[in-house]
Amino acid sequence: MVEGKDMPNAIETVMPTRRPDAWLPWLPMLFGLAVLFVPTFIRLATGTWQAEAHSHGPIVLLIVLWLFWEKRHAFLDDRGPGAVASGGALLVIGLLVYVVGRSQNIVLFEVGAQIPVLAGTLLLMLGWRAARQFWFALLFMLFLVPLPEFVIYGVTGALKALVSETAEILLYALGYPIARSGVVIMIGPYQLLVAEACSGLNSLYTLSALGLLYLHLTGSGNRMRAGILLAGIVPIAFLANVARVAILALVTYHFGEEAGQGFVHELAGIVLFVIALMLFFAIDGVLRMLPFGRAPKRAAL
Amino acid sequence: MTVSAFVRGLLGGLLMLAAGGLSLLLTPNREGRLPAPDIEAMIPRAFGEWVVDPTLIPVLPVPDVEAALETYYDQVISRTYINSRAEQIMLTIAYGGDQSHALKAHRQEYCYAAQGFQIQQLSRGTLEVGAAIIPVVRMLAVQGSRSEPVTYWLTMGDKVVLGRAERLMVQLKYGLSRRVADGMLVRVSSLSNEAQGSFRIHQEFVSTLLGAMKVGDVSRLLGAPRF
Repeated sequence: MVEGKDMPNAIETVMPTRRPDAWLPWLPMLFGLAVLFVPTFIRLATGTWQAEAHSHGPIVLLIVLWLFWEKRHAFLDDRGPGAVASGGALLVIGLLVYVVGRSQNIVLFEVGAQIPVLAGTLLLMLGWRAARQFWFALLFMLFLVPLPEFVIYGVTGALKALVSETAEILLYALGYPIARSGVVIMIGPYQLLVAEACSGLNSLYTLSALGLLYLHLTGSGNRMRAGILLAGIVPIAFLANVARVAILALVTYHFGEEAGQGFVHELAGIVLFVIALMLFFAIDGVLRMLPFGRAPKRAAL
Repeated sequence: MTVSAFVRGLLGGLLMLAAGGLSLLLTPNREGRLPAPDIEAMIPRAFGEWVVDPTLIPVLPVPDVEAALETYYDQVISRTYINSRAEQIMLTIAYGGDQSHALKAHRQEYCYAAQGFQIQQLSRGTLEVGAAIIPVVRMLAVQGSRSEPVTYWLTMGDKVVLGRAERLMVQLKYGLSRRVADGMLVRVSSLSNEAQGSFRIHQEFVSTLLGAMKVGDVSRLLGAPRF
């Protein structure tokens, strides 16, 4: 018993390092974080997230919040002096990036800055050992950073072309009167433009995020299983989008342009995303049945 | 040296508040804007041997391309000019007063590709107009039987900028001094299967156009006074 406020009580005998006022030093930090990033999320919600390519944003944010909440005990454990130099440096670097991003309206910087700012804060307050518990939450925050426009353009261009081509080959093999010029598909009397949204970048991104989360939650004790599943995300998302484009082409062909553009268009996107997710789980199910796919026994909680 | 958790928390919080304040200080305001030019009036409807084709409904690139332009820019003009040899040139000029969102770039190769065009022969080059050298992008946009050679350039603030990093630098230079960089897209295109010949006509067209404009307006179109 060094000093008065370290008085032992019933709780302390169970968790000797937790102090009743351990949350107090966090207050200025939390206030600062709110001042910085609440406006950022308002900006995202009223701008970037409205675009279809970024519509996964709110879900990712909820998951991030939950990941931090899940580790809330770690905030209060007093783990010693904190990593003042490295944490402080990371915090300052993050804040500088934030200032440029926020003031110049560069979303990539403004949102991206959250990762070094939070990492710096955690190091400063908790030190390396405790801060390390948040590695997954911090990594997952990468999905919160809107992909830069030029990456989206570059990737969607290539994906769109590939999706259109594969859908064309598929429907041609099924005997439909289909032709294609670039990303314009001609089927019967109709012409369909494979737009950005159909490239599947969005579902690829969301699927990657959910896949990573799933692996994290189910314990990625087995590297082989984790590797195969992660590698599977890209082809799964790709096939789902080929199916989506093919289905929309078929709906248009059989039921007219109206049918292909309306409600069905939205529904096809959602349904195929769910199917892709189930395919992912199914692969995991198969992997778990294989000898190398089983997680080591000791990993049981 | 150990610093108590409370001091660390306070220090971190203060740093964050300082960053928030600094962001506010560095945010460009409306006064930092240049007055908008009147593009419609700025670009003559007849110059040299070129006149706005009166007989023709302008051959607009593609409706969707135009829609995209209008969301990014405050003023857009699209005209088709014709000369005595019946060569046609489509001219699109778009002006945006605030290019701070411009990392979304208005790179026409993406714009056209998104509309189903295939982009061929994409290259950087220059237009030599009098003493001025304008860096431009050239490409051939093809969709079905439509073959459209395109020459275009973009300005940001007082410079013609084509590259992404270059645009970011100009944006930061302006923004961090609280000014707003405006921007211009100047696009010249024609319908032809013969790209190289068309690019030469584009060069001649731009050169004649700039020669017929007021000096001040020319510098607006090129970003900076280069004459």
